[in-house]
Amino acid sequence: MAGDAEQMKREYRIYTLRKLLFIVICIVVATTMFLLSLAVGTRNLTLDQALGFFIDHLIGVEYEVGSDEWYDERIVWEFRTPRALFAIIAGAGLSVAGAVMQGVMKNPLADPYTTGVSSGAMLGASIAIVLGFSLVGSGINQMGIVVNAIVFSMIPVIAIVALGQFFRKSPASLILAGVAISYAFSSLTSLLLVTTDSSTLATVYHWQVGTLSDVHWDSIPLVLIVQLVGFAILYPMSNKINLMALDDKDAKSMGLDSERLRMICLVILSIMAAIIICYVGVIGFVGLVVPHIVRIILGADNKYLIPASAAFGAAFLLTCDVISRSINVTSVIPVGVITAFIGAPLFLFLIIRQRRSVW
Amino acid sequence: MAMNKNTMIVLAVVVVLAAAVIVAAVFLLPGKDITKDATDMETSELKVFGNINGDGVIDQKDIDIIQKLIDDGKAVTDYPAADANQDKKIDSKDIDLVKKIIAGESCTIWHINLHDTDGDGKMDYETVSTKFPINSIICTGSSNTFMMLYLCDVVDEVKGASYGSTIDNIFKDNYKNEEKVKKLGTSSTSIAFEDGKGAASELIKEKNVTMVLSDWNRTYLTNEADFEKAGVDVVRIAAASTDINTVAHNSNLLGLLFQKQKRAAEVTEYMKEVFDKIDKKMAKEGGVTAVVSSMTNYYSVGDSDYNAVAKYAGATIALDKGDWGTTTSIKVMDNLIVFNPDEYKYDYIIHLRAYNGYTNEANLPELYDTYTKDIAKYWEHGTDGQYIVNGNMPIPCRIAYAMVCFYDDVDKAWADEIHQGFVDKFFEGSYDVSKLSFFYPIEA
Repeated sequence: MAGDAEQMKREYRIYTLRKLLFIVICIVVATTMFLLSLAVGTRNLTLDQALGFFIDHLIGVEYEVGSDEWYDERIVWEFRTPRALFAIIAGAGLSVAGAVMQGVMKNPLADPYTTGVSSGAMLGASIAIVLGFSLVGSGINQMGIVVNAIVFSMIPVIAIVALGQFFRKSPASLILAGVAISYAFSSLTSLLLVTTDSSTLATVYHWQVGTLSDVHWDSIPLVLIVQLVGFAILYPMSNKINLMALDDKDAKSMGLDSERLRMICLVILSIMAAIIICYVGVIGFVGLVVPHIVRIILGADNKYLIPASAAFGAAFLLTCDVISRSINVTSVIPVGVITAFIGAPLFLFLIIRQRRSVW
Repeated sequence: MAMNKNTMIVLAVVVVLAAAVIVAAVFLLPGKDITKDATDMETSELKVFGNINGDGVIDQKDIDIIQKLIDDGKAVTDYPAADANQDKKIDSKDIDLVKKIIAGESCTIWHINLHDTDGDGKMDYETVSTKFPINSIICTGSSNTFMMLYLCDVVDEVKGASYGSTIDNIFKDNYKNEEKVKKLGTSSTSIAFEDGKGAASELIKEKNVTMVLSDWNRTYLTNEADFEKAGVDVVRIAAASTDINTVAHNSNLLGLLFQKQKRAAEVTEYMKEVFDKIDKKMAKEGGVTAVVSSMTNYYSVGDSDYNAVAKYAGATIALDKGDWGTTTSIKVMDNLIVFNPDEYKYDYIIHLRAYNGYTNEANLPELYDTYTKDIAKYWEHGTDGQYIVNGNMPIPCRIAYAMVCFYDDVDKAWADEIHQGFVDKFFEGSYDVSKLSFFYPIEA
């Protein structure tokens, strides 16, 4: 008996270590890709050069303005570093939001945009680009678009919370409400876009497809804070989210108010997703598929699923971004195209290979 | 008989007095006040600080005026164009800078960028600095920008450009030749600085590019800050403008930056001559109403550059009376009211479209059918009154051919003569425009 208990403890330790190992491997991959990404881009720099400039900046080395070294250091520090950091933060945030969304909604098709935040953000950005109107004043600049997108992305969330008192906050109802609000906002966006000219349309489209091209250092603080705070609130609730897999009545019998928890999670992860969308547009697929891939590998325990999704999502999005910048074509390829291109077959492969159901 | 001695003395005194008066007049009477030649940027034909007299060049006359302003202790607030180095003072440093500009020495010049900075669809004046002179640039390549560059003989200096598929093959040996000019994307409105392999940062360093040329429209080069951060100056012009002051500034600025002032002056001069011819011809015409289309089944509205061509040709734009928001084009099938003659009555539709006119590679009947057939189903006049005018030629030529479409007594030969003038002066006379089609249909 004692031997059996020891055996069980050992097996549980191995079970836990395997999950932790997966997270560590993902973090190592993300870190490696971060360093590699500094050498990838338009300007031809070797890995040594790129890392050298990165370290030089960290230790405060300054180059003569206008020199080749100054130029290359600017590229590494001002363009590639924030872009890689943002990919890590966004990949982690969208994956965590997706994992939690799927958990609380009990729906494998749920993703961070289910509540309609992407449609709201899209409308806000379109108003800024097409009408030239921004809540921070007139004129089109990146900040104007971002502020508009943030504010408008919150409207669907507020609408769902407000309307929530009029219907039972079951997963199906909330998803349907999110879909309805999404369509409403999308139709308003379409109305704006049909009245505009082709060059403005191209600007809106560029924003819509999801791209990390316009990320700079000023994009990082807000999105980092929101993702960290969101994670800090959601992760401690992972055991409760596990209980959400039960029927709401059964969960209630165990002391969990599922509807209340669902709404809280919805609001938090919608804000997490909204902040990301506002800077880089709608990067699809990450929030939907990464949690599923992790679930196939690690199982559905949110205690490990949430951090593992964050780590895997960070590595995944960053890797996709590096690939998008490595392809030698005249036009710039948005990262959203690559995430779908790579993620879809990978996901199908895992589903086919995986015998047991994890959903 | 010898002159009376007294008479000679009187004559001598008169001569001396006259000489004294003349000398006094030269030195004591106030000279022409050259500071009255000082202008503001609005009217200047070269909106560069230091070009105080507002003509098309920066020269000794500007130095003379600035010196006078310094001597008279004039305030910079009254003569902002004299503040060449933008240090909020008019002093000898401004003269030093102007001297450097005249000598073509490396320095930083301050000038106006034509740019819609506040997103209201109207051109604003933005003060910017640019390293001077320029030897290597990249540009967002609209047809108008390429045409402007070509007219000013800025060809070899262009190292990269982003452009779409409608750029004329007249540029196939230069701007469209990817061995000479790297293609930086397929959009004529944007260039990425640092992204994937299609962006500009490698080319900028490889070719020592110091400037990006773009358009005044707010949707062009929205990532301007990325280039400025990397030390690459952004210069904006309004290459499609029909305003002669803006047209002069465009060519004069390019001429100054690339040290091709003589060529730029020729362009400006000819543009003025042509606009003058058009104005004289227009004095006897006018009174038509029209709409302009720049995309299939779209009409241009508001302050679009396309409408400006038709307006200059004497047309009233029928859609101006509608409220279309800030857009510059509307899809006609979603706005069928534009075909209701009780609401919008117009006699002409000009399809201002880019096609390979100089190289005669366009199938005009096919293009005409594509552009007109759907509109003809709804418009009261069908295809009668619909014309294609080529958008790949200098702006005044588009106006001239539009006038040929509008007015029976303006004949093709008149427009061809204007056009041939451009070709002879600036395209090395390589084309006989009378044998090519720059508008369609050409009615007998």
